[in-house]
Amino acid sequence: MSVLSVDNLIYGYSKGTPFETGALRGVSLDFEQGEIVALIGHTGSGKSTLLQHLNGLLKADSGKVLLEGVDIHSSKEALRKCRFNVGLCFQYPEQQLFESTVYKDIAFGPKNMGLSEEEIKSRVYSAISYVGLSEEYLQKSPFDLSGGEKRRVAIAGVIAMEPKVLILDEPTAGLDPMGKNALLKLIKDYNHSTGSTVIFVSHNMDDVASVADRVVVMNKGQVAISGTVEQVYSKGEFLAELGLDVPEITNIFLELKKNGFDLGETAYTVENAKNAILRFLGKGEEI
Amino acid sequence: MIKDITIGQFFPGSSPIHKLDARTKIVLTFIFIIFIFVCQNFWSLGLLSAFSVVVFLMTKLSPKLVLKSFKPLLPIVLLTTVLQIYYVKEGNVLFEWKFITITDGGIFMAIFIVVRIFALLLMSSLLTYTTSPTDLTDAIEKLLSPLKALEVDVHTFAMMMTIALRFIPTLIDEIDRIMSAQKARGADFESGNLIARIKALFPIFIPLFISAFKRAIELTDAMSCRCYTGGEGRTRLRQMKMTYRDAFAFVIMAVVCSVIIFLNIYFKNVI
Amino acid sequence: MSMNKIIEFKNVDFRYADEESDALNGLNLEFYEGQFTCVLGHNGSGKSTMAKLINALEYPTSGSVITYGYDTSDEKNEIPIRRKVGMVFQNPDNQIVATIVEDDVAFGPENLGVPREEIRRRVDEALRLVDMYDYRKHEPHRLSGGQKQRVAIAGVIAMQTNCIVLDEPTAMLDPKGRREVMNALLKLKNDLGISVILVTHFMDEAVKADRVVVMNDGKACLDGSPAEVFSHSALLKNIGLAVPKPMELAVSLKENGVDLKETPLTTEEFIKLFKNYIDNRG
Repeated sequence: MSVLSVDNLIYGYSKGTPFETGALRGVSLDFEQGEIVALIGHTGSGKSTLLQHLNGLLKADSGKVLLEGVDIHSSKEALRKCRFNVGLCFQYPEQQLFESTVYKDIAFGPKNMGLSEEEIKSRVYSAISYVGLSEEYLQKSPFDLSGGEKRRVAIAGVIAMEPKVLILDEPTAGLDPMGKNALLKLIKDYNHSTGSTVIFVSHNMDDVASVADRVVVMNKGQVAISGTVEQVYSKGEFLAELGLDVPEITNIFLELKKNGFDLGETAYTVENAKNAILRFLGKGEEI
Repeated sequence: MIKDITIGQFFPGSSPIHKLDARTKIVLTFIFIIFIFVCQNFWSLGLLSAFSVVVFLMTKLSPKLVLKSFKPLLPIVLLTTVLQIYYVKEGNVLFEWKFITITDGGIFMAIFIVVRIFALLLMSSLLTYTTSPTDLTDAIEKLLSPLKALEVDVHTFAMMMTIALRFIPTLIDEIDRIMSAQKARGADFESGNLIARIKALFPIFIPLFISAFKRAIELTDAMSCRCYTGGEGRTRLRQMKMTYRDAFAFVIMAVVCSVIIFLNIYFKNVI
Repeated sequence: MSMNKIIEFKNVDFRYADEESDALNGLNLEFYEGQFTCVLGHNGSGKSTMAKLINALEYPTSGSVITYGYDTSDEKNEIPIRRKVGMVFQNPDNQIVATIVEDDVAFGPENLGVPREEIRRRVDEALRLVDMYDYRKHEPHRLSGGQKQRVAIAGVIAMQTNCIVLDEPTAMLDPKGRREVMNALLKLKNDLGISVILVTHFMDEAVKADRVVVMNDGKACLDGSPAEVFSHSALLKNIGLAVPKPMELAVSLKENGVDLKETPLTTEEFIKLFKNYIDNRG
């Protein structure tokens, strides 16, 4: 059984119109335990709307969201369980920090869950270590931290609820390459060590390629394609039609193909591009 | 959705009322409000109310819109009606029970006041419904400009209004976003006693204020980079122009007002 | 070709009031007329601070910044400097003042006391250049991030400044918005001859510049054409920056005996070099 699944979600800000930005027009998806899923699509494709359905912040006009097989809107308890089991971290999450210390801010979620002080404490300590910050940070004011540190604290605030599914809306937005790579690594490590499902939105195809197991592409409120990174990126032309970027390396391969060099496969990282080209040139054996 | 709120409740259109200069509309609305209180009998009030209805029909706005704006004021209207009926004890007694005496005078009075309130409300909502906030701000700046002689900083006041109008939608979006983010962390804004509810607002308002200050600082930088130094020596792209329409509107208003004064004198006062 | 120096940083140190270390640390840097210069650096490298010093939003703690011949430390020079150098910031929401697009573009010229007819002409022209003319009557808050940034750029064009400084204008945008802004900036340089100083951490933007400056620890550590600067891939990686992927691929191929002779910065260049390689191989 999928840990989280959505069944034919339909949601529109105003009905009867052709397509409104942010609407959903029949989305069905399954998220399996332990996988990292990247959600891509241009602004207004319905990604953010979908995310807010996954933890019950929005309620679809029709269709269901099932958490471990239970409709999250079937009862008040089910919805409450969903809020805590599907942790949603918004874009620029550092903007939601409000407490006087990092400790208190991270503890906000667990406190709302009604956990004991001891349990809260242990969760705050493990959350801060997941995001790669030392325990010294706990007594600092979140407002004295750098932008990247604030973001980690905000993510820790969601992780501390120990959700079965962690959702991150554009977690690397606005970060420099170093900060971005560090955060992507953190997501991967978190997924490995906890076995939790991670769903994240990104505009950066290289980021997606480096962490995701599976890619879901949204367009105009529907799932346009979904599959492994290889499967989706091999449809480079289709992605370009949707107005999406393909990883630069994939783009090189598509251009090479147009110029008569069919390398037989699609690459999306420098490493596999290099290998494919060497093989094409008959130098593959040297590696 | 909280985002769908239209600021200043402006509904764009191309009716003759929409096309009037904002200054004309403000001045005429004021005159109208004064004359609402000048009306002393049903004849004059009837004329003025009919006039406001005609103006409303000219805007081609949906009646639903106006009814919606009346709704929040209904309790006040009801209360006034009850008080009028209870306190005014003139004319023929229609009903008497213990300390309650209802007279036809009281009922007339109540109707009179209710009509007054509705006419007032209708006309002032029409002003904001048909005039964009930007035009309103510009018009207020122009109309208040004589105050500059009294050292009142009219320009800064108008600039503040513009910036407020510009940022209200942005901040509403922001509240929406922060609220969702805190809800996602299990925050509960809907239950508990008053104190618990007020406490629940901190996670929204602290981030909101921090971000608003940050925005203010950045906006200050952006404005100084664009050589803003206050109203001195500024020119304006927008130009307000009075046309024959405005002259026509003033003439009609003058006619209506004269007739009201005439009706007031000719017919007996209600009060 | 000799180039006119328009901005000069001479031994500039700068420290924010509440900080313990210098944001700029002996910065020496010059900018030239008509150039599209990209300033790269990780967060905290001092690149944004540098941008703010150019048009007197901050003053150097020591050393001097001369913008179009004006010393930025002299308060009297503020307005003359800002008539020459316009600025666009990171957050598109926090720099639009008016409630209607065209009013916002007019804001700068209005402040300069430009006559009304002339403002009208400039506003229309600026909006057309950034491809936002059709949106002139729109409310800014209903625009996308890329559209808002283009409105901000139009606001600078309408002031007819000689130079535009942009502090991470694309950091908060989606790929489409980033492309739109980048195209508008290239047009600014090519059609109007405006000098562009773009502070960013996106490599794909830097490869389109005439010149790339890399900042680290409050100093300029690399300076040259994109090809020159990106050839220092080890140093770039060391300070937390990436190199363009086509280049990374070419370098990796070279290590494995496939030498494309030159280093490509863009996909087009890579394809061209790869074709040459195949042709020469026979």
